Amino acid sequence: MLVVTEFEQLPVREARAGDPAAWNALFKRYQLPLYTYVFELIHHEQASLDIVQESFINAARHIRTLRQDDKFGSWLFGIAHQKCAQHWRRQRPDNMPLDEQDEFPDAAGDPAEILISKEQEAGFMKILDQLSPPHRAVVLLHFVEEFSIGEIAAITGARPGTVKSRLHYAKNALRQLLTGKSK
Amino acid sequence: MKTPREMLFQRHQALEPKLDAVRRNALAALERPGIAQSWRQFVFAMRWHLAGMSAVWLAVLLLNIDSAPGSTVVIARDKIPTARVLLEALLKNRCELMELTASPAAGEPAGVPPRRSENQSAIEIV
Repeated sequence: MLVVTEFEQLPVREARAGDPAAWNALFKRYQLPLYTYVFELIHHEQASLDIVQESFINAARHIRTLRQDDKFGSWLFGIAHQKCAQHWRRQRPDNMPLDEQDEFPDAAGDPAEILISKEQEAGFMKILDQLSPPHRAVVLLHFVEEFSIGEIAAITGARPGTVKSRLHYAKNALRQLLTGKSK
Repeated sequence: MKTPREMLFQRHQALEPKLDAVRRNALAALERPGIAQSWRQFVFAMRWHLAGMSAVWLAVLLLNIDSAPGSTVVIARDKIPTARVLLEALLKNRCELMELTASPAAGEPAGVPPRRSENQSAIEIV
């Protein structure tokens, strides 16, 4: 089982000072979560790798714009999210799926409340792929890094209310699938 | 049973070698200076030259200010002859030339011996 340290002390201050070892540690910490998020949004391996690399470079070059060190993760995901939006814009200039606005009843919750058995994995991924990109983005940010509603709102540029409603909608859909299959 | 996070990470874990390469590329890109950084390094390397050139230009500027435009004009105006002065000088020269042409004797050089014929007329034969 993959173990990811939850609240490790990230060397953001050292990275600000230009320490390459600190940047290496930060990149290593976020490379898989960031790739997972980007790939599940755009479904293209090479483009996802490019976006991860560009996000790392941009983060290092613009670290001065980061106000709080403890927000490094959401800030980095925000950079990657913008790059995903640019990717969508290039692919479909007339359709911006990440900019959709919608409203649903508010709800958040614990990302670990949904547990998936081996048999349910394929169904989970199918449901995830069927979600619209804005909903998928919210769910991925919630599941992959367990960002708060406020952080997800900052990353996606959506209102916190919108983030809550998207999360509610997506989690309901997933829960229905999982409970339906488990029954 | 797995959480969605564990499941998603396991799905992409096979890509770790490629992600390691991406990380190395990003780190290598950071070591290469960007355009802004190159420009900063260039300016820093040339700082003494730039300071010297700035000082020279500053000195030139100060000298220009010292020889103020007002005083320069005054001095120049004093030295430039007016049309009236020029005309007077011209008329004076012309008068002098006319006087010279009016008195031809004045044109003969002094100490020149008289003509031989003139000397002979002065001697009477007895």
